[in-house]
Order: sequence, then structure tokens, then C-alpha cells
Amino acid sequence: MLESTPSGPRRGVISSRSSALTPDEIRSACRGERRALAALVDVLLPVIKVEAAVALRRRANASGRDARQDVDDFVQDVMVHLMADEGRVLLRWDPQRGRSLASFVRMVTRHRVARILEGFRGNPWSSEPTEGEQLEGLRADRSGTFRRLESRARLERLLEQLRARLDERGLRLFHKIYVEQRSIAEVGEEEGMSRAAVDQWSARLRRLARGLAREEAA
Amino acid sequence: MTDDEHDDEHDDDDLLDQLGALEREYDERFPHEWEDVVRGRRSVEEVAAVRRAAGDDPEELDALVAMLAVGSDEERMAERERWVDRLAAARTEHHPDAGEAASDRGDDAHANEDGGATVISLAERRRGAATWVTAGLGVLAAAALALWLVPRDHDGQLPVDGGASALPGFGLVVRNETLHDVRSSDVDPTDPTKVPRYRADTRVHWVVRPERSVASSLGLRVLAEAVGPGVEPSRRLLDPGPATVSERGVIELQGRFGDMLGLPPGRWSLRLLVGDPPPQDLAAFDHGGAFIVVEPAYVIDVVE
Repeated sequence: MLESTPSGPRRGVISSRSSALTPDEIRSACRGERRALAALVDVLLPVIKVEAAVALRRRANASGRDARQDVDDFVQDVMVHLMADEGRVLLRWDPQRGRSLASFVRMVTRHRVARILEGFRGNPWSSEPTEGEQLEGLRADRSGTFRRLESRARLERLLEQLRARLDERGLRLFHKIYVEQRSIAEVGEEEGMSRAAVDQWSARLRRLARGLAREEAA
Repeated sequence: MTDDEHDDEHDDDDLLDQLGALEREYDERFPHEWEDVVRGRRSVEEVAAVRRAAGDDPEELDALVAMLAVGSDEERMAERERWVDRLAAARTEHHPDAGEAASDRGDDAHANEDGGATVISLAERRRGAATWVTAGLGVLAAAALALWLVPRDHDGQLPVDGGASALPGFGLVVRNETLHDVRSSDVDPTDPTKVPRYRADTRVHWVVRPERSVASSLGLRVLAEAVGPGVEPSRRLLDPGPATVSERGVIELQGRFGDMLGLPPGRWSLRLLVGDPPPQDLAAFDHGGAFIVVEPAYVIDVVE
């Protein structure tokens, strides 16, 4: 991973103290305590804004739309999503699980932006929202479905759809098992899931990926 | 398990491995350096040079420079404050009846794993004050719904409290379809590129929410001022017609723009006046009284 190398603080620099923010401070921010809220904005804004800007820019290439005007809308949507219901989503972050707050927020943002861009919630760039359950009833096709997905562009498209279809927990599990390539036992222990529960989830993920692949290859 | 099922499972795992590898590559190549630009730790030029050397697409680089360049340190800090204000303004306790109208219409929804716009049920809001409401993109885009959240604290030029210290502050939520989407980034209505446009036949749906419940016989008037370069100063105090007022003091205005305000084409700055009673004419407004001026002004363009 490319790591940034800060060149030192300047006047007006927004502090980056994600490692110092605690769940209690997050709760304070979600209660509207202004100082805590400002500290939280310091952590969230850079991560969400860049994640949204990159995703929108890459999608804008295909749509021909100017992404600049939408970035703030996506940032606001993600921020409020994180903080809704007294920070219900944000407080799912558990520092004991080894993921930094920034990394957690990045994952939620990627998921959220993908969902919107895939048409689940008012995608401004699509006049044809994706139907959530079109996968059902697709005829089985073992004759080279995946060979037709060899194209990288199609694989990228499939990844976008997968991000959008999974819920946040599903995305976390996908990340741990297939991106970080960790063992099922280790993931189960971290997530508080039995081996059987993780296996069951994996089977559902395989079915989902297969259905999406067939849809994409059709 | 049959041989075909074995083949399927193998194919599925292979596909997921490919997707995992692609996500890994996306993570590894992700230009996290831009976060330092937003934080103000590195300059746009510095990060653009780093990413150019890393082989990023020049067009993408230009686009990210345009999207992420904040400007001076002062502008950066101002942007941060704007976000704090926006989030603070989005809290339900600033809009104690947020969701009531939606609940009455039977379209309540809860935030869930699927995400999306959150409309908090009234019962749920009564259980806890520290609740947030989504001024969500989903709502905006799905129904061209304009949601304009007004910060609670605002230093306006007009008196915020026209002698009505018993009344709480009010905020305006614009929920109507306008001629173009009003985006959440439109909380600064002074930006001329983002001013909402109204025609005579535009359906208006404005909700004026108190910061706390208020049991009073509230009424509402609109102070309209012609604005813009070369415009003759003029003011009008308008009665927008019948409004519904909830037991908690939430005022809802709905109707055709032409019928409600009948303003001629041009740019207008609108200030809503809430009172018991509100001022009946400009002289009463200038004299002051038991009314609240909802700030900031809502600037619109009236077009033919």
C-alpha cells in the first residue's frame, strides 16, 4: 500500500488523530458535542472525501458526467449514515479488531458509494436503477460464464456490484477472507462466528458472485 | 456432491479469488496521499507530482486536483467548520418534529444495513434526543426532493428575535420539487450557480420547524426582497395563504408558487417570519414585535 508521508504541520492543518479517537469520543460527537464533532470531522472528512472523489471520478469516465458537483453530496450522505441513530454504524468500529477508524470508515464509504452508484438508492447517474433481486431464476450456465469475464473491465464491474450487494458485515468478511486471505478459523474468531456460520456465509457469497457473473456475462 | 457441483464450487472460489485480488490491487494503488491534501498537510502540487510519478492517469489527476483542492488554510478550516455546522444542523433535536410529516404520510423508514435515507419515526425520536436524520442523497436524487437544512445559530443582519423571546428559533426545510435538484451542498444559497429556480406552477412544499416544541397559534409571512446587481431595492411582505400548524409548532406550506407568493421574475431573497401573530405589513415588520425571522435568507430565482 502506498503510504503518505506528511511533510509536517502547517497553519490551518486539520489534525489527524484517528488513533487517539475513542468510542466514547465518537459517542460524544454523535450527541452533538461540538468539540468532539470537530475532531470526528477531522478524521472522517479526508477519508470519505477522497474515497468518494476517486470512485466518482472513475465512474465519471464512463458516464461523461462531471463528478465535482456530486462529491459533497456523497460525503454528506456517508457522514450522516455513519452518525445516524447515535452513531449506530460508526460505533460498529472496534479498535480491538485491529482495524483503524480510518480504515473502517474507508470500507463503509466504499460500500455506501457503490450501493448508490449501483442504483440501490437514487443513483443520480443512472436512469435505470438496478433491480435488487434480478438474480433469482437465472438459468444455470456452466458453459464458460467465467471465461467471458476474463476481461478486466468486466471483473471490475463485477467487483463494484459485489461491493454494492453486500451489507457491511458481508463486505468485511469478503475483505478478510478473499482480500486479506486470512484463514476461516481466524476470521470466525475475530467476528465472533462459528466455523459453520462463516462457511454458511461463504456459500451465500459464492452464490451471489455466481449470479452476478452470469448477469454480467449475459 | 456431484462432479458438476464440485466444478461450480471451484469456479466460484476462483472467481472470488480474482475479485479479492482485484480489491487488493485497488487498495494498494489507491491514492491515499490526497487525504493529506484535505488535511492540509501536503500541497496539491506535491501530491499530484507523487501520483504522476506513480503512473496515475493524467485526466484522473486533473479531475482529483479540481475536486480536492481546497485553497488557503483559512478556506480549509472554513470548510471544516461548515461540515461541523451541517452535521450539527442535521441532528433531530434541532428539528424536533423531523419525520412527523413523513410519518403522517405513512412513509416512515428506518436506517438499516441497506443504508439510504433515514426517516426516524416519531416514537423513536421521543425515546432519544441524540438522533440524526439523513439529508440523504437517496432522498434528493430519488424524488428530486430538496432538503435545505438551516444552521440553528446564524448571525443575520435582521433581528432574529423580533421581540419574541418566548418563541424558539425555527429552521426551513425545502422539500418541494424545483426546476433542478437542490443539493445538500446548497446550504449556502448565496452561491449564484446553485440558486433554486421557481416558476408560477412549481409545487411548493416548505416545512418550518421549531427548535423545540411550541404550543402557540403560529402564523407565517414572507418578507421578499429583490436582490442582484442593478436591481432597484424593493421589499414586499406576503401572506402565502393557509398553512398547517402541528401541535408541536411545525408549519407546513404547500401549493403553487404563483398562488402563494406571485413574485415577478428575478432573484429574490426570502425570509420567513413566524409569529403569534406574524407582522401583517412592512410597517409592523419594521416596528418589530412578537415574531421570529427565520435565518438565513432563502435566495431563489423566479423564472417565467
